[in-house]
Amino acid sequence: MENGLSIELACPFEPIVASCAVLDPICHRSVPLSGAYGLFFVSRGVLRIRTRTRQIELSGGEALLLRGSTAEQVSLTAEAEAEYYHLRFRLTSRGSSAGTPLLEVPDRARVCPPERLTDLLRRYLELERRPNYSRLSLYNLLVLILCELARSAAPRAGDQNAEPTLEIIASRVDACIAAHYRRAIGTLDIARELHYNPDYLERAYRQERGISIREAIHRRRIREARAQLLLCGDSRIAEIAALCGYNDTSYFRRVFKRVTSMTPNRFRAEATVRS
Amino acid sequence: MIDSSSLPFEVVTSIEALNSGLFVSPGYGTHATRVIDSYELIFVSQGSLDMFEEGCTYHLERNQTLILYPGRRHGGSLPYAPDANFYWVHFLVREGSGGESVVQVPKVATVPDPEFLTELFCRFISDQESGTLDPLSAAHMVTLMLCEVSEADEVPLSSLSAGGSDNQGSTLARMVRSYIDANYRRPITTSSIARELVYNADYLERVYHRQIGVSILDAVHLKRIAAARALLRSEGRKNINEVAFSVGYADPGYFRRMFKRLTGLTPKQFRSLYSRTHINTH
Repeated sequence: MENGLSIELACPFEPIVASCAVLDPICHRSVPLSGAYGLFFVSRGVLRIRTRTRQIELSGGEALLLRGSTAEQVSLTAEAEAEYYHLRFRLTSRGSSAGTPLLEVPDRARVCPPERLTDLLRRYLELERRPNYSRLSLYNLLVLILCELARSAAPRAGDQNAEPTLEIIASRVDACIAAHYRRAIGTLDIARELHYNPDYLERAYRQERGISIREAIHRRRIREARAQLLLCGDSRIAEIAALCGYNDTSYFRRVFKRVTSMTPNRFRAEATVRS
Repeated sequence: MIDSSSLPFEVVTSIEALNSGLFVSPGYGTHATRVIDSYELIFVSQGSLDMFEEGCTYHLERNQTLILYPGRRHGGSLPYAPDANFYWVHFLVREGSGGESVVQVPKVATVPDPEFLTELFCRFISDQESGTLDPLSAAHMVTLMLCEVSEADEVPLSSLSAGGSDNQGSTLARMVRSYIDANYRRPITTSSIARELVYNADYLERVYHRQIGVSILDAVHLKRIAAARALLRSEGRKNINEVAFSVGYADPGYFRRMFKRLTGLTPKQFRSLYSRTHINTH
């Protein structure tokens, strides 16, 4: 019985483009969706996505799924250098029968851990670049990617029993910083909020991210300050400093200079000239 | 809070995945003789395996796969080799759901990209063990596995090219390939390979690039990073620097950059992604 197996499978799908790119804060990029689906996943930095009706800010580990109506354009700008993956595809509908399983995919999700999605997206890019790539493989990989987004939306209660790894602890600190950096927060406040000993938390964070929590807060604030300087050409530096959690403007100037090697005014002047 | 709505997708598949595992040879015993009511895909990741199905025997080497049918008697034709490891997955195929694509899975195949197949199995088994595997992902992972097996090269490379000069090119490319496979742990370069094989480096580079589609140096990196992926998955005790050294990088920083460029992940992230795997020995 020397025979193989032959299986008929549906493949209601047409790949359009797939890429991984780094976007400089000064650059803009626009993507035509024109009736297709567009999936964006940010692996590093912050990406701002503007459609006709909304503006969305995606940070590292977040994914966005858009369905373009006819001839819709999406424009991308980055805060710091954002590394992101982008897939565009079309689904060809077949006469569907009742009882076809439906996969509910959230249009926006935080993937945890993000490596699970990075790994699949990287495979998608590799498969697509093979000389005679199989559309069926690509389609199956796409469904896996969508399943990954669907499960990100529904965190399981059972997962909380597991001992959190340093990476999870560091991610919680990052999330806490992202939520509160506009206020006057410090390492102690974060430790209290997350119920950890401050010294342990500091050690764990430094081991995982290579910087102190204090420094991470500064970097998050300065990232926001850069975006504000680019967006709001006429606000005063003091206003921007206050918006980013610094009550003392001269302290803000010093930190900004240290992190970006430029003064806020110089940064704004250069950005304005270039755009 | 994230404002979020959801998009519904219709997903049609005729495959239903059951369970999967990694079998590690206990060094004695033989695969049980049995009849099961599902298909089984076997993928030998180490050593060799000798099976039979309804009177036909199959000798499988590393990186080879075998498809077993429901309702047919199968079992081990020889005792387990002491170093044998294989992945297995059981699945069902629903008839009549139809579709525009056909996947042809050979009975026995040598897979072209064993890393990808291994990682699919690892992902499947890890999700299965943590209780987070949903039926839709499972079905599509198995379909991807079958697609990979269906792309296997059953025909030897040499018989594919017709012209005489092309034949020479593919022979040369294969020589480079096997030289890299044997020597990637040492500090080799395009010119050192050319010297060893006694060819002009530019000529060798041109021929290799035309045949394989990547430069010789990139082929060395791809080989090293593939070896590193395998080490990171299996050797939990080696630290990242040791992994770098054992696949031919003297500079761990350079290794990390290369790994990130080729896989999108840092070595550490990759290890944590593939660290959990269920093993059975019976």
